[in-house]
Amino acid sequence: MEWAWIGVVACSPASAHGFGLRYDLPLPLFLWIIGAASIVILSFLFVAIFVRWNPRTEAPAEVNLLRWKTARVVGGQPSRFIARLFAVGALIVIIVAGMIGDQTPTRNLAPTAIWIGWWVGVSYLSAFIGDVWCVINPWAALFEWYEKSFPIQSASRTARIAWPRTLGVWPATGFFIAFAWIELVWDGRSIPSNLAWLAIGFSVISWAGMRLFGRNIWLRHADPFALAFSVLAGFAPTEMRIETRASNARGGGVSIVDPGQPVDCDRYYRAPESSRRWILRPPGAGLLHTKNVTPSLVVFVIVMLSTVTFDGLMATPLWQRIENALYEALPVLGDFRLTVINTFGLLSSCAIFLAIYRVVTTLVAKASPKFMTVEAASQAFVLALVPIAIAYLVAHYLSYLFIQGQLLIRLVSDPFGFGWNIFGSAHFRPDIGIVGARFVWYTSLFAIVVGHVVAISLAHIIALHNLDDPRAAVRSQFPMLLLMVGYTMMSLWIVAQPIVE
Amino acid sequence: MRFGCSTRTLLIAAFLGTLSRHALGEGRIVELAIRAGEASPKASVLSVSQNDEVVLRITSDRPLHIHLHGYDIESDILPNIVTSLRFTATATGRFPIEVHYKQDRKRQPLAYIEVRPR
Repeated sequence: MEWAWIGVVACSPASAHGFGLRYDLPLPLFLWIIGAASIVILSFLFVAIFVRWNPRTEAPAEVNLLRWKTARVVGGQPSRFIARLFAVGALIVIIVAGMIGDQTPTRNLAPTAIWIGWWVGVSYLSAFIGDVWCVINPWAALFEWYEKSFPIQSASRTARIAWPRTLGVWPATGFFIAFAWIELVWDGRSIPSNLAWLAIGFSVISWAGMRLFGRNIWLRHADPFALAFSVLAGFAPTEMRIETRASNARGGGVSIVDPGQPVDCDRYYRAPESSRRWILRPPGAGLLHTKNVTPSLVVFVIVMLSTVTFDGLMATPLWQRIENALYEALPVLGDFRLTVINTFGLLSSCAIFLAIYRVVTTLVAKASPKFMTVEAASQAFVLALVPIAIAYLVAHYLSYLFIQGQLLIRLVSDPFGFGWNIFGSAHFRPDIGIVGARFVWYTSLFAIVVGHVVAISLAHIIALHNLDDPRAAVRSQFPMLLLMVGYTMMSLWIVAQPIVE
Repeated sequence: MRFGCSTRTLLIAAFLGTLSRHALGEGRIVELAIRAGEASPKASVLSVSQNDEVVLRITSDRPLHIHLHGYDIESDILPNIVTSLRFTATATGRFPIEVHYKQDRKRQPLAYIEVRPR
């Protein structure tokens, strides 16, 4: 309890999240030790024994879901239209609620719908179902409908500005850091009207960008959410593809499914029904598509990882101590001290993660017998880290989603806090006992260990793909193994705070 | 039979443990003293076990409105009188106790109630 009296300055925010509170107990020491030990043992087993599969010579096991009628209905154009209508409706209601509704965060739909329903909810759907956001994205839907209704406007499609190659996904990275700052640092993040204005501002920027550069170009390079959700969806068990028919040398009409290119859902829906494929695949298989990873996407993924980790770090006594020490040391900054300190923390965690990843990929490049540049190594292995980010999302937000998410049941009946009761659920009382500490402990532990083992396996498959020789692949992976074991131990340590102290 | 005695004790203890896990929890009295709107010691963690019948006894030198999050128990605290809040700690977790001010002020929890699983 030493830290209790060190927290002399009344400055720590109760919650490090965008909105609401988590009531989690820290992971007990014995679970921490079991987790850490199983990580090390399981990863060595996986790397050394099980992972022999080379995607170059063996195609992964896949099923086309569209052979079932239910999937044809769910994956069809009419379902998408209904889902998009719902998303657009939700966006409008959220903005209106933020503007005219009660400004108490828990009595207004906007904060809970945005931080829990959308940000946590869609992250989970992306990671465990597929790129749902691409299908329902209300901004993209509204813009597409606008383009269709005014064909004259879209006739000038060719006159649009081409996306500069060197720009890559840097704009999305910048926007993502800004979003993380709002989520983790900014005081005003739970005030409904602030959120409404942010949504309006984001709409203006998005539509202007889509108008200038083209909808899909903008979504893929500058929209932080479209990009983040599609990165998470690389882990998901489903993927949309188009089968392209090509004639081979013998002249027959042999169908070749383009294996390397996961297609974004727009191309899928535009394709004729006969060539659509909705694939069920092993989780993580999508993260093996490393061909199109650009240097800026490497930074984007590392930034995603580091912000999610910083979110956890902010809840630890260690960070509170740093925060308090800096708070005392920097009276010059006045009222903005906390904001400045946490901004500094957020940015330096991004910088530290980038630096560590750079060091590790330099080591990997050096350990590769075939010549592999540091850039090539960092682009090849960055997506293998995504399962760790997902594991952390599960460990960190699951109880938050289950407990604070129940507020949505109440809020849909009274979205503006005007005392309405549209669906009769306005007086619903959230059950805080729906998930207990034990459930949270074991799911966190399981998620972190499994996420780590999957990450190790993916990195190893990628190494086999790039190096061909299994022994060389194993050798090149020692730095990655060190990085991942270290990273996961840190994640466990964060979840285990402060009991391990 | 060197271990006979201790084994039997352990068995009995385990049996009693099983009983108490299913039976109602114990009664627990937890004290929280507030001076000038701050608890002493600051932001301490008050630990109870799941299903305990908790009596939270609060004293303050000035009138306050406090809120136990999660369990959503709110109460006015009158100065220099012990206010007792009773609840059954059914849900596990760490729940902040905060002072609610009229104006929206930056708040740090007075203390936390930590409900540990049995």
